[in-house]
Amino acid sequence: MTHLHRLNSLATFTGTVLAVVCLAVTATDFVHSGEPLVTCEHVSTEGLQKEFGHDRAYVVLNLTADLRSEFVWNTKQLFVFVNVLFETPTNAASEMVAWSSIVKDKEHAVMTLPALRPQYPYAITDQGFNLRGRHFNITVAWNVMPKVGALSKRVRTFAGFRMPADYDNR
Amino acid sequence: MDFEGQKLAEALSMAIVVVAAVLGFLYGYVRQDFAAMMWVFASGTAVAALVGVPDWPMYNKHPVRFLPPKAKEGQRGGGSSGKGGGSGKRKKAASWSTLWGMF
Repeated sequence: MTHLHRLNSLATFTGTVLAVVCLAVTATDFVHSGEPLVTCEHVSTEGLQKEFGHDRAYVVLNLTADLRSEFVWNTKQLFVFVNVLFETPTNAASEMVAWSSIVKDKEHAVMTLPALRPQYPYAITDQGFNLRGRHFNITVAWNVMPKVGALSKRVRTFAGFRMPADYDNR
Repeated sequence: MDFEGQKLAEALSMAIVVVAAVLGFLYGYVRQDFAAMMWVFASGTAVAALVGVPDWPMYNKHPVRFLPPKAKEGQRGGGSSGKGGGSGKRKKAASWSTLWGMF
């Protein structure tokens, strides 16, 4: 029984205790329930065009989000997405990421974007010519990445928006 | 370090680690600070290592006392019936060496 034996036994025991502590930390995530304020709406459409055999829309959205309540001691960062969803006679579900962001701390968890344009080129594209007058939903989804434990996914849906009735080649 | 000392060293270091874990968890939860919990836990582990790993004098208070030998050196192999092969072999070796010594 040398000092190395004792150091080894202490290290392994510490590892076991740390695993138990991490389990307890993830257990607090189930107790906590953040109630963030999120709204997103369709403001206007800057263009609805027939391009290369597809319909493409250039929408402007208004995002207001206060995700500060998602930041607890076990939160590392948030992945925030704004998606546009619609269904057409040929495609039962089309979902496109219009905008996304990584929120690393509480200070950046308040988002006020009154004129949010799709971050990625040609984000709102249909496989066909079905966007005119199409009803669509917007979802604001955020993944909470914890320091220990499993990623949790949350989503808010905002429904009842509509594309322009005809092409608008601006 | 004697046997009682091993028992004490292990119990002390384990207790310190567990107490540090519980205190760190509570402190971290109240402060809502994960890093604070880890620092408390790491400090507790360092203290446990300092207390439990080196061979401190307090772990040597119960030295193992061996019983006094039953018989004197010269009388070994004389009368006891317990030792069979070992002592016999030794006897044989001794007789061969004495035989060799004659030449």
